[in-house]
Amino acid sequence: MKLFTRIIPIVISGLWLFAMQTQFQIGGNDLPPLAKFFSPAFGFWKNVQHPDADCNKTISDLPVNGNVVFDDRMVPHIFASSIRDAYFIQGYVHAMHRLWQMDFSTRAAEGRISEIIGAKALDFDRNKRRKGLTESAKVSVENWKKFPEAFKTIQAYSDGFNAYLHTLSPSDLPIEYKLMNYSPELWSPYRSSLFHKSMSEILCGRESDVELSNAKLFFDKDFDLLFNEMDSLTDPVIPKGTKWNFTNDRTPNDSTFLMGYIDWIREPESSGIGSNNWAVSRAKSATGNPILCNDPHLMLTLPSIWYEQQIVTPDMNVYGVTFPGVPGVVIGFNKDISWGVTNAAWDVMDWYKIKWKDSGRSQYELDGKWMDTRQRIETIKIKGRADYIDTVLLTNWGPVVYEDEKNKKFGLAMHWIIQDNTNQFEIGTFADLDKAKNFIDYRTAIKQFPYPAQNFAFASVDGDIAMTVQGNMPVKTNQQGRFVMDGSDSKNAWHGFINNDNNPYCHNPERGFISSANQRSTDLSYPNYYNNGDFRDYRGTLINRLLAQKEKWTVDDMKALQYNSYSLKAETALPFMLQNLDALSLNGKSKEIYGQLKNWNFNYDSNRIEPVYFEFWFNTFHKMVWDEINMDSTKKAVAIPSDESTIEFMKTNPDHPYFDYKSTSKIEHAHELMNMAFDSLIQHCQSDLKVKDWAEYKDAGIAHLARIPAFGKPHVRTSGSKDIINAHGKTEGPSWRMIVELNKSKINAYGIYPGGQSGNPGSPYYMQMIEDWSKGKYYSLQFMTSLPEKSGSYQIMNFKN
Amino acid sequence: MKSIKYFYLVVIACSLMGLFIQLWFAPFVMALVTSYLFDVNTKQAIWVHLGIYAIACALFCTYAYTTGSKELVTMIGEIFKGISFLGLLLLSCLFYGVTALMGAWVGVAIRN
Repeated sequence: MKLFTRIIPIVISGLWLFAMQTQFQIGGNDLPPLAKFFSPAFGFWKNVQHPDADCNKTISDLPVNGNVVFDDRMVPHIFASSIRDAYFIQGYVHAMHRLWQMDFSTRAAEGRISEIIGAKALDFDRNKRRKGLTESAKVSVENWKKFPEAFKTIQAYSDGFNAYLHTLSPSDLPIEYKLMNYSPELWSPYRSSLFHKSMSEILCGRESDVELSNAKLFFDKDFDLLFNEMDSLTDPVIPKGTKWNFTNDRTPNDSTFLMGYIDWIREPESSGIGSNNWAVSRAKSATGNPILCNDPHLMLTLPSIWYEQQIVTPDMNVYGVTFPGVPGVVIGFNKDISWGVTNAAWDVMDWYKIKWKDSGRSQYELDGKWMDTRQRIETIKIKGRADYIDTVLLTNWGPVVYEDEKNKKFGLAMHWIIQDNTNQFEIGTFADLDKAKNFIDYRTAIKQFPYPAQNFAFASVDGDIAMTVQGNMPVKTNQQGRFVMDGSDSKNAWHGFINNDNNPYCHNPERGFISSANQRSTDLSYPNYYNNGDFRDYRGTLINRLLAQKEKWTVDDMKALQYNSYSLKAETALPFMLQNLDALSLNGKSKEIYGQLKNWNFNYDSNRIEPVYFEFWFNTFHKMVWDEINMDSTKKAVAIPSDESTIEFMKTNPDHPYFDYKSTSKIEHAHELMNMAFDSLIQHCQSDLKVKDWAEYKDAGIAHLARIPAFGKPHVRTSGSKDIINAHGKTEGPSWRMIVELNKSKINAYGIYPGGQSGNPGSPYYMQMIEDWSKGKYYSLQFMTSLPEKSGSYQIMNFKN
Repeated sequence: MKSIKYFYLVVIACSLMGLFIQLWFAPFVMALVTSYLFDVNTKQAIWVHLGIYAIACALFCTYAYTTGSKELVTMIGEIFKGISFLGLLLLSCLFYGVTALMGAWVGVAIRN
């Protein structure tokens, strides 16, 4: 009996302790271990007590000297005696504010999320690994080691991160670690490289090879009309009519395209990620100083992808935004120059149909010979389950990425630019831009940048403005890479890269401004062929029109231009659509909406209802026009003509059979379709389309990086939309707005991003700037030239060796 | 009687120490040792530990809440189906207190 009364408490306590440190699932979601998470000594209460690390302190046990001044928005201004020390401190500060974000995003790039959240991330991890991001990152790091001096700075950045990590006890870890019950890992140059590969996937991992291959068959002779490589609206990055002083880097061979449909299900349309940058010369500036503006549009997340920072050393004084994970400033300015980037959107990811010898796929045909397929084994650790072993088939073209028969790219081999070793020091681009003094330095710095190809805008206090489309551009024959290609013919391979000196650029153009907004880089006179990864026209054309129209620009004009919500799409489509409405038959609600649209100024303002009506009406019309594709019973992944092409087509070919709506027995034309789409709008207005204004309809939000709803910001009310200069869609938008007036005596700079400096939910600096950002406000950027006196508005962290 | 006074004092001291020891099962271990060393009965040991540890936890969490980030408490509450600060406080006290209670129970059982 005595033994029994001893055993009962021990058994029950054992069960309690086991239960308290176990992760249970409720409704498919993992709960954190309860005792750990709710422990006052260890759990979330520690984060409640100290959401951010203390900044006012002296750190004396690290091999660096320097000071960090944190201003009232928690922007660190790093003062260090050498570049090495500056990057060490940058790594330290990045970790201090963005530890979890850096760790999580690089694990994601590495395909290791299943280790943290279990089998639900397995497909995600497989996809990352099969694309070969880790292999490419390892090759880049080996390549960086060939630049020993520069490599030391990247190593210093990693050392700084790790130095901060070593100061943390488990109770100090960011809240996400406690919720998901795992620990951070040390940083290394490899992880910086992984971050670069991950950004490359976002920016140059887009193409429509399968969709366009199918569209070429589906539309046949109409294909070139509907999928024109450059339409009348396009106003390229490098002004039309620019003369090229070289012939071409083309090879004479033609590529052979795959013929025959690829029958897989359509995926959602691309997101609307893109960017704007522009600069005006002295002649177009009201103060006589060049002004440079940049707003990169990315998926908006919390913590934000950007982190604001200034770095001051004896050789450099640079301010701008950084990527937590990469040393240096990525977009910004120093006392001599400013630069900004947009995505060039070239197609550098191509797909090849492989002829396998048999179903075992151990050999495939290339130029009439059987080649052995190689294999790469990937072991994916899964939380709470046995490891998953994935076998990736490798061909001369690259990996076979998709093994799921439902995927439209099932069995195709991929060739993507990150597979090619560049022997370039891509991260050095930003380190060199950070200390560039003039146009020559800028050109030299950016030549190291292989991918993702970017439009690098430039302006200097000397009065120069320039735009360079920089990246490694594969040498392609006409139309090569636009469609899925025959993988049994080596003629379809890329033929090296275009000589970087032949990349499109312009310097001090006559028109007095440069700009880019993800449109085509050049007109068709450019001697080399390149094709569309994700070109956009509306923003670029409107920016160029507005920059040309106004004689003199001020900083305030630029602020208004970045927040400009005018829709060129509405301008080109709506008057024609209204003309085609049977206005006499309208009454009541339909007459009211017609009147509102007729008087609308084409602005997607947050508090207007007209953009809701136009969007709904146009999108319904667009779907009805291309119902042949949408209603296809085989659900082929066929590219749908863009909005631009559809508008042009409805104006020039309103009686074309494509306008016949297949669901009715009648033969419709564009006119009838517009009326039917308008009727649908009226019906929906009386049922489910009961919103007050555009912001409510758009219902934009900023999600947490790991999609933890409580750490995100829903219902962000803003103007704008994709394909508008203020390109704020539902989940993506201007991730950093920057305006820099390059005055020789004092740089005037303004900026803002939708987030805050701290990555720790609960910190007052976590989402501090979102409200002001949504209203189009800016902060004056404090470009310090010397260490300020200690005062109430600054916190100072002192590093003493 | 004196022993009981010391028992209370030690339990209070341990409950406060437990707020700063970075092992989540520290209350269990401390309560086990305390209950093993002091000659108290099971009922006394478990209720005193539960009560005092829960009060210590409540004081700590309330202090953290009033001086720290209320936003984070709201966010954590949302993750746990929208419970309020009081709900989170109650759960924290419960887990902390019951972990100590278990330790006390085992301590008395081993001693006896």
